[in-house]
Amino acid sequence: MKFPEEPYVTPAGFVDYPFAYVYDATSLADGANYNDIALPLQGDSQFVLRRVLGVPNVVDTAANGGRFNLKNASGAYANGSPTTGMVMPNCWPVVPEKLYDVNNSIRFDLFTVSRANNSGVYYAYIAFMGVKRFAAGTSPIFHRTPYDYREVKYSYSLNFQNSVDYSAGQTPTRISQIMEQYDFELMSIRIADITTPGTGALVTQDFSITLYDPNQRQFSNLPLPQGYLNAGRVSAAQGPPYQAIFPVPSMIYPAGGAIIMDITSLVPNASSTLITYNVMLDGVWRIPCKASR
Amino acid sequence: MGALNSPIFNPQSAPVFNGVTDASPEGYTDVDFTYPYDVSLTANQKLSDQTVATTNDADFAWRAIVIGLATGAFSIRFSDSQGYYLSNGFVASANIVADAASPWPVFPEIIIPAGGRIGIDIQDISGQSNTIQIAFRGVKRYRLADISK
Repeated sequence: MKFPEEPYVTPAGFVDYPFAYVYDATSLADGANYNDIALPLQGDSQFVLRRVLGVPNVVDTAANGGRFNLKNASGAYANGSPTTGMVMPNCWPVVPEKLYDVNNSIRFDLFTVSRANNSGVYYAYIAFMGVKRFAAGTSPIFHRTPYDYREVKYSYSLNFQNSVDYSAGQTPTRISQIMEQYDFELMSIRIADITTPGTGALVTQDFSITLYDPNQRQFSNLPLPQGYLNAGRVSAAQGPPYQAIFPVPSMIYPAGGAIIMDITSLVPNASSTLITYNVMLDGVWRIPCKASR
Repeated sequence: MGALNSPIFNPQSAPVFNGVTDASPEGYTDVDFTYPYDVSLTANQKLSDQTVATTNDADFAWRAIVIGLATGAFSIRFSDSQGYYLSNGFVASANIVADAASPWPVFPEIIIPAGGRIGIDIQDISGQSNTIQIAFRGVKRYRLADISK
């Protein structure tokens, strides 16, 4: 018998890769119910679901009948009373994790849709976060640090302005941070408005983000509203609204490589109300050391 | 000292997002499941012997409580399928406030047999009408030979 306190181990012969399947609900009709929505997997791997983010951005308030049902890979409901549905918070952990096989779909129901928006620009997205589970030999190439190293806390800080007014089909703004000297292990991303600093991290969905791995592969099938990736606390007493930590597991970016993010504006008047944002890429430097053996 | 490896977990993250080791008992497999309980109370209304019936396909290992919705304060007492009360009296909802990411734990887990019930006595103490949803989180425990979910 195993115990939950034991370190988690990916099954032999498989490799886990952080990923978020994103459902775009921006074109749904407010007030409507939708049963058995299927979000198909990309077909390259299994998917292990560990959390569901952002349902309150897609359905109405609990008092107004906003509800959600999640289904297992088999199609069976993961909750009772499916005709009533579940009240969902920003982050719904899935324990034990759910395994969806290659070419399966993540299925769910929505009750009383109400799309969150910034003056008519919708950010109604549900993120199903977890890991893609690749069979050995089919996985992406993971960078392995080619030297012995010691780990040292380090964060990259970069600023950018979202100067693009929202428009359908806009070209995203690309921002990047070069890994100057050493391999860097990215553990979390924090974003704050530094034009009008608040008590903590940015809580409004001013833009969405597509984050890339060292090989320019996207970590999500669609851009994620910034809050779904933003691990910054709202205040000293209040944690990140979506309990957002990403990537999990963390990701190694090799020296000379870059962390790249595409920024898509979700604000209709961004160019007239220019805001500067600070992005903190938090993690660990892998600094070379003499061989210990 | 580092080895020539790639990360298998993120130390900044909660264990559940990194993955929690499957702790299903031998011969069983646990599948995440939630039983919600919905109720609307009038001001100061008290309801006794309410039940959330569990399905016939698997035992339910009850591990946590989440108050998903409450428009006012209430007090509550739970019991298991055998009528064993989890407290000697009603408990204020304010004392079991939790969210899904940090639920109010039921430890050790309580096994509700297939076709069993979670018992609830509940009373509004807000003096107003009160719409409530309580989620009983845990796992369905399937015998491996029966696994179809």
